[in-house]
Amino acid sequence: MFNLLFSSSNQRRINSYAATVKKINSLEQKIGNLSDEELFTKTSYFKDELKKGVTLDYILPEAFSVVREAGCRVLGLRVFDVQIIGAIILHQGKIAEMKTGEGKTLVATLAGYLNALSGKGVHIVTVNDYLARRDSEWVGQIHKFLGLSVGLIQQDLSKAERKLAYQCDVTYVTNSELGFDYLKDNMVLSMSEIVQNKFAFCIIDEVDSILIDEARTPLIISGPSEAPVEKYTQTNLLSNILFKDVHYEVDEKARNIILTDKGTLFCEDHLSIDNLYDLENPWVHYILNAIKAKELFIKDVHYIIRDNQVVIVDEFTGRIMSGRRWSDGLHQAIEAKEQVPIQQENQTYASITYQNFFLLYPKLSGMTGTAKTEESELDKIYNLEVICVPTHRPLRRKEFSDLVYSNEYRKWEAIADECYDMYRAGRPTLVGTTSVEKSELLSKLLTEYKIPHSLLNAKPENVEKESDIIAQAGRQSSVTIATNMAGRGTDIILGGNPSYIAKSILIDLLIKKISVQNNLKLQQLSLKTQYCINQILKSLEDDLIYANLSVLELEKKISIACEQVAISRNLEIQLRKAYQLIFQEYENIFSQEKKYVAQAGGLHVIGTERHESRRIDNQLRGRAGRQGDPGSSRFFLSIEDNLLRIFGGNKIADLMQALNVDDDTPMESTLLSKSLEAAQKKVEAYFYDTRKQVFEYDQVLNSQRQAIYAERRRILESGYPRDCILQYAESTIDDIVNFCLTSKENNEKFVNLNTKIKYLLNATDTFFISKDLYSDSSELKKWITEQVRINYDLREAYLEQIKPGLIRQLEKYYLLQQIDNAWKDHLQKMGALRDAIGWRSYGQQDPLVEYKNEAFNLFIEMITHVKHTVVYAILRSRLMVKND
Amino acid sequence: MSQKSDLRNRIKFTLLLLVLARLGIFIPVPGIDHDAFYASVEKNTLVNFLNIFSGGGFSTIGIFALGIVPYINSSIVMQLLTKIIPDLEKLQKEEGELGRQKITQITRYLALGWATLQSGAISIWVKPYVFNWNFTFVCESVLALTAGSMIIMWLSELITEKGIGNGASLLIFQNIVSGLPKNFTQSFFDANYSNTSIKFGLFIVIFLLMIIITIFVQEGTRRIKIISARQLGKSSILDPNSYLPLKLNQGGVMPIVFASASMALPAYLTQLTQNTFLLQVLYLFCPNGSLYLVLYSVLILFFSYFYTSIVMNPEDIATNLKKMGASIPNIRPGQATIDYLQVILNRLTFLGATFLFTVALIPFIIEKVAQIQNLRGLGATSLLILVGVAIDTAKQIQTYVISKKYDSMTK
Repeated sequence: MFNLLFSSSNQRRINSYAATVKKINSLEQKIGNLSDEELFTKTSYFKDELKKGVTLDYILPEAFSVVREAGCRVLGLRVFDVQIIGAIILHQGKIAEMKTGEGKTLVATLAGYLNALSGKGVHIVTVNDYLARRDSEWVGQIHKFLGLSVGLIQQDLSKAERKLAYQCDVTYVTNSELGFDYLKDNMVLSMSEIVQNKFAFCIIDEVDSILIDEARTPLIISGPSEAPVEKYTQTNLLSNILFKDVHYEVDEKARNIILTDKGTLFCEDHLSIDNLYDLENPWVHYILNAIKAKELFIKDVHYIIRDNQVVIVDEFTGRIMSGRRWSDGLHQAIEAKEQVPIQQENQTYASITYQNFFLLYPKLSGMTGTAKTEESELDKIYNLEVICVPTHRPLRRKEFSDLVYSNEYRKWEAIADECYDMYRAGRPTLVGTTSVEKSELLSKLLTEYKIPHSLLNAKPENVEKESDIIAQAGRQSSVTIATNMAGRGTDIILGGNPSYIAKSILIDLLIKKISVQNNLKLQQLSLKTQYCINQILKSLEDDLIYANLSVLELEKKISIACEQVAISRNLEIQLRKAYQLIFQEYENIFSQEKKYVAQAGGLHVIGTERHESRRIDNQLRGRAGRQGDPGSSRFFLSIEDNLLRIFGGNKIADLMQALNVDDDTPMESTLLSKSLEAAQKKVEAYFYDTRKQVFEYDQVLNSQRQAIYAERRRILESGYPRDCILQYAESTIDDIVNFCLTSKENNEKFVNLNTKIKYLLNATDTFFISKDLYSDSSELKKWITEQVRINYDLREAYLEQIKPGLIRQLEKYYLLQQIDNAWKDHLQKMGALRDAIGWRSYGQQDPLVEYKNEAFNLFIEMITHVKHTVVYAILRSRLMVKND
Repeated sequence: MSQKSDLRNRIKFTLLLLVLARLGIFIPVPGIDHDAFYASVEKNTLVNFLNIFSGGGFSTIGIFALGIVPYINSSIVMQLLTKIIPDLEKLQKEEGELGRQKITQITRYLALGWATLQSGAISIWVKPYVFNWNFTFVCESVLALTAGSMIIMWLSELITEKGIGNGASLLIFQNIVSGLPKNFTQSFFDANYSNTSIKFGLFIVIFLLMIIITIFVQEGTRRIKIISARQLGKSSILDPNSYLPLKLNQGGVMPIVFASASMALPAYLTQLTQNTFLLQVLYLFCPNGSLYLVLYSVLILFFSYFYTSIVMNPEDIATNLKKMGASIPNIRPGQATIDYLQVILNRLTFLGATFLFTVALIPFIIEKVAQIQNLRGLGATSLLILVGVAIDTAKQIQTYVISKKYDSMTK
């Protein structure tokens, strides 16, 4: 009943878009008759209209139909009505929930085009570099065809390249690059180094992944700090002789270690020290980290070793997060455990959470396949409404109920059996595992069963083959084992993806320089085709050498060749010829396979564990049954799974006991499924709590960050920082005078003030403040300010003589440097405050309220400190100028 | 700008709801002879005591007569229960938002039950003043009073959520404050004592003195320095903000409330027994008896310890410290920390209880010495609540002012 009410409100929303969709459809004929050039000029026409004061909403129908037409011409894809609905939702700054395979990427181009017309850049945010590149090269062609510039940010771009990319009308970028660039922009020393423009509109692909899953860990820019490294190796050795539940306890839910009294004594004995918690020589932190590394962080689950480095694997996406490090010495402890070189400890220079970062956009929107379950959070924190867009064709996926086994071993056996059955039936199978370790375990098992399969996980050798594996995952009898990597953004087409494979062959040939004879994928094709390809390659050799293209440019060329946009250059024409040859032949093979596979039941998805949130499970399920294809999914679980063990409580285990089943028989009951879902909901609530807390506390830091960044930007943009220095000087004088005049001893008061001012002005011994001034503090302040001004003028004149303009540079440098240093220290203090503030609840005080008040005091202290140090530094520095 | 108007709106909203809550007190429950009732209860001490919290509701029986009391009572009961029942404790500590919501829900049901019981008792108690006392009347008044109490509860939650400060505390605050003028007039102008102005001056001085002691009792905390493992390596200077505050008076008003409730027992017992010796002993502990104040003080002391032992368990603190990887400088974790905390808690509680009964005894002593009646409305309970709520609310307002300051810095 409630559900009915609920869906109908969503339905009403969708219905309200019908009129616009109808209008766009009616324009299709007219726009379709335009020539390419006429279509191109539409962009400038729209821009002119906007300048005249027409709203975006007004031109929306025409703009969308222009993009639709361009999509047909460039990519051969016609935008469906449901995609237009999605695009309208995006344009309105809401979240569009669209199922897998419904073409979200294309939806973003519609809304992106429309908003880019206003001249303020549009950022399209993806979860990884690969998707950003794929999208910009693929659908970005539509924008280029219509005369908009398209930028792409990748991890290894230089600042200049980034700046260019951000200035484009539409920029494809990953969330982490975007956030880091923002932080870096607020650490630069000159305006020219700033790469981002003002934020205007942002479309987030896989919005739940970015705004919810990633929101728990903030973005941090850090630099090295001094700390001894030996302690890590020592405590690592120590941790190996400590025993669980004797020397320490493990809290798996909070991922925490508790040292027992016995353990404390043992460690102290072993290290021959008196107190682990000694202020001068603390050990406890290192020991806790070493035990954490031993018990809670597992190789090939939480991290992998690559090039002798510990690299974090993201638990939600299954991808590696290179460059990110665990903080507070944990990463070092793991490095000690794995016996790889231990890197220096880090100190935070700047940080921001995704929650506060994305709230910087005046207009924000997103799309994903799974957002409805997190609707209330998205609404509360980001003020984003979620609207479900209906699918283009009805969903035909069968979702079998979960099978629960009494132990993990039985579960994996059953999974392997299921894989075998599917393999024999000729159906493609995708098995989702939660970690690298488990994916490899299953791979071994399947090898024993002699089932051919491919493995996709964060290991570098497997990542390389990612696109190939996915392209072929839908083929007859193929079995693919994957981690969460095969969740978002992967589109498995039944029978196989011919265009994908054709493209990857071209990349193999041109970029990886694999010859035709050695290319296994080409070897499956007829000899005639192989010969033709060889010929084309030979004819291209000269072009390729002369053009001397970079890898990225070459990839772009290949992308263009793979689509339908008109081309003129020989290189591109030849490439397209080759592409079409391969495509044609593969298409023939695949279309037959597709028929067979679809009849057999389509893609079967096997889940091997419930994840921390239902969304991730749904993502995995969503791989099957795309665009109305047949498909099915089933989850295999065991009582020993992490989720059930940590959060399930005794209820489920008791239930199993009560039903008294033997090990081999799986359980399939609605009662069990319900309690599983309840456990999952509990976990979701638990993590929502954590995120909410992170958000509430970070909001304090965010206000401070905005204040500091605004001041920094003001100084950076100012051509005349002298005003700022003098302003600081005035408030410094205020502080000094107020401080001195409040001291009790009258005589001491004067002496004190005199020395302080003398020190400030760097004056000689003869300097003396006349006593008449003391009676009136405002007069006194005025007089001192005047002295400072004179002093400063002299200094300025002196420096101007040495080198014109030097003083302005110095001012800016001092200001920025002091602000940055102070901010860095402040962040550390705030971290310490955050650690300590929870204890206030014992005094019946609200920690958040206390945090806000204490944080403000710290902030004011910091600002005062900055003002004082800048003023002292600039008034007292002795400059030695080298005369060149 | 938005922050500023936000604060203003919140204050407006809070005031509006408080006025609403106040209005309901004056809407009478039908069927009672209110004049007769008022005349009879004016001198009843029990009713006067209840009036402190419900804002005079009992002398008129308005629909909001129960006020926030059932909700407060059930909160107190829940607070005690979560310490006793492990399942509830788990719900509160480990299940996050969802668990806390469940606890709140249980508290509400408890309040509903309490309100029903209390209104039932009232409808029976007012029988002499009812025109036509029958079952329908009982049902009607139970319904009216319970509903009123639920509405008040809802208002209090609205204030907490969308207004400023803690709704329940503010409602009690309002009730106490609204009773003050009546108290003053009763003390000075109804009775024809001489030297009113001198007494009035003396009263003001004592009143201020009591407030000062109350603030001290309410806000006095012992700050135990804490150092977390994470901060240990970073600097060898102790962060001044890193401390565990232990309140001088853990129990708030509870020790006094329990103590005064127990003090009613001897007077009640005198009506049951005929034994003259026993009666004599009991009279010692009745109001005006010579040992009355002594027993009162001892009970306050006892309940202070009792309450502290329930809400503050040194073992819990020590475990939590361990969990967070934190420690008290120079005190070893584990048993040594527990002992250390226990000693501090004992001393704090003793000191706190001493101040508490000093504040509680002052009105009694003044009454005796200065011959002023009805000072009890100004008792320690009211003052403690007034001071506590005022400080908490001010702190919350402070946070709004701060965010406004940040905003101005960004521009």
